[in-house]
Amino acid sequence: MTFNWRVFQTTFPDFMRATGVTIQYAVIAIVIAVIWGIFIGSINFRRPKGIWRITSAYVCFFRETPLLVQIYFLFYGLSRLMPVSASIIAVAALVLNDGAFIAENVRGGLQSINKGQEEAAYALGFSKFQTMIYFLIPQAVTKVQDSIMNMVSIIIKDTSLLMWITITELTYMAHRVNSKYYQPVTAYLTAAVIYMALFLSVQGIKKLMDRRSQKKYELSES
Amino acid sequence: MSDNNNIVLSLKNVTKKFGDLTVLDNMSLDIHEHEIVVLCGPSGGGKSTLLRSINGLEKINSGEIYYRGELVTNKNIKSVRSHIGMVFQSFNLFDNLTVRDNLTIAPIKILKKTKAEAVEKAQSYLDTFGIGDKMDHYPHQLSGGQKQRVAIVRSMMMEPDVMLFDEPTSALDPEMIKEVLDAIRRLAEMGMTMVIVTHEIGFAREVSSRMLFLENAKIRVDASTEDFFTNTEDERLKQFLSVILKH
Amino acid sequence: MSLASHKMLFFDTLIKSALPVTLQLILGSFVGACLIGLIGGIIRGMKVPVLSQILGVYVQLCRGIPDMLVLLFLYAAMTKGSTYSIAVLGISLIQGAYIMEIIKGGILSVDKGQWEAAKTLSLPFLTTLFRIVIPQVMLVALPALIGQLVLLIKGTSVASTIGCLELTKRAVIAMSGYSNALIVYGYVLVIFFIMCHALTVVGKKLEKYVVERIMGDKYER
Repeated sequence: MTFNWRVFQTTFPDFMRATGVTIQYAVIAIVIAVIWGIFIGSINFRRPKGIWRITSAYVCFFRETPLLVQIYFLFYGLSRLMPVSASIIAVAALVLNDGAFIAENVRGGLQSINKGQEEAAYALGFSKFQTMIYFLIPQAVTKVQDSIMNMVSIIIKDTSLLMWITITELTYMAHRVNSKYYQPVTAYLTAAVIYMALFLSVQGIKKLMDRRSQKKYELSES
Repeated sequence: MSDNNNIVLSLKNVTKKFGDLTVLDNMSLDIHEHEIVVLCGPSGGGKSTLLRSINGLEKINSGEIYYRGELVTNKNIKSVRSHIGMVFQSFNLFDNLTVRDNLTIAPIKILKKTKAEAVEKAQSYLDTFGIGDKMDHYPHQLSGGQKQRVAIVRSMMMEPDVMLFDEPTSALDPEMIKEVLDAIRRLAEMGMTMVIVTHEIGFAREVSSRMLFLENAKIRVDASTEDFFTNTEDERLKQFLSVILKH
Repeated sequence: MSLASHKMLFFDTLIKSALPVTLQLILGSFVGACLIGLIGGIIRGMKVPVLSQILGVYVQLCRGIPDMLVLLFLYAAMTKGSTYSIAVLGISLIQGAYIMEIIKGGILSVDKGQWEAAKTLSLPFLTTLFRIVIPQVMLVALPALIGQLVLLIKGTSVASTIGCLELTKRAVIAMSGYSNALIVYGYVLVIFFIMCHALTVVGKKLEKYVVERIMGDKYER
């Protein structure tokens, strides 16, 4: 039960490749999930007849069920109906799940914006759609910037569940290295350190963004 | 007054610093039984820190504090505190307890009173201060003036030897100040030894027996109330009084 | 699928055999996580030197490393213990870190004046903590704790991957018999949803009730 440097050296390239896979899925998923979340969040804020019942039920359901079961449901369920690759299912599951959380945040952000701004925009002749795009959504996104950055950390962790649908990401690699060499400390510690490096990088970016938006705020105040 | 037997609190060369800033500079002071001492002076002069040091809410950097001739140390601070009542600017009532529990928790836990005894005493104090009907209310259901009177009663429940007031009316709306000042007047009539930090200079003049003027971490003037207002020759105090009396 | 096989899948397999295991997982991990969270949260909230820094690092680790990795590691490294106890241990360790942060935040949100008033009345530390501070912490922490419990409930599904025979694992096994994944996993999703949603709904009522018990009625934050 110690760290085996030889195993570490031989498997390190595999770990790097797997890290690439993890980052790739996390980045693709977060980009689409943010767009999806803003879209769904805006619908749930506006509540257009009919549609919002479906979208808010979707948000509620996906927030209150386990991601792993969602992944199984989509992977084994959809592949029966149509030919789709594991990677598409993987991205879809992450987007649907984490997008639901982002949607709820965005809706909350939109609701917290002063109603007067909306009315002022209408008074100036902007349409409902333009008001959303130009004024409300940018403000809501600034408000939920922090929670979106937290979402990035969560998505990175969520990608670990993709190992069960054949995606060769980081946790899968740790699992495989351990089954091959029976070196649990080496295999899982290596992965844990890489996950922490990713996590701390995201935290660092978040701090930088905080500082930037603070500066912006100070400037506009003076 | 010079009789050493009736000195309740005694500070000897007390110094307190916050980082580089000296808030109490080598301060010495005796407080006698039945004295009502008002501390005044510009803000930042160390008045609140002085009170907070007396019952150990602030640790002093050097010097000694004596209670009834006994040196206050980390070991006996708890028993000393049970003889010293303190009323805060922001009331600090326990928000999750009813008035009843706010008033009786310490007498039951510390003085080992029975619940019935404690409640009876609480009721009589509440009646004295005109809030006898508030026993089952929660703090957030009371006005500021009512909260502060409950806070005064809470301290009185411990049968204190001396009461410290840290700007007791500063957080109150003007119409509520009088009810709290009246409560303090009642304590004065009972002969309670009190040290009060306040900006209510008219009240101070009426109720106190001794006035201290604190500025720049030092006691600049220490005089009987009469001398303080009529015979002072201290320029800074004159200035301070002239500004404050205009309001 | 016939009605009888639906009944057998839903009632016999999922509700009767698997749900009790899931509920035990939830209960065991919640108790464990609360113990870790409460003790650690008090240490962090009181800013105990050294210990609070160590716990701070622990929290960061739990926020950065996936549950999946932790469970697989424990499963590979532990030579003793059932899959159930390994899962409870892993989930408790991770969820405990989050509860720790909730408790810490709650303690820090209690006004300093409450501690000072207790000191001037010479109330003992533990009396102050349990009679005055913790009830006020609950007020702030309860909504967050309920949210965390929902995450914990969902998190138990991961225990299936190390062989713990809870809902998800039973479904995976049942898949070999009833190959329609949409139905099998659909049922599991519905059961989890009912548990989590019921908790959210009951939680809102509970919050209102607790606020009234702690602060008297008509309290507004």
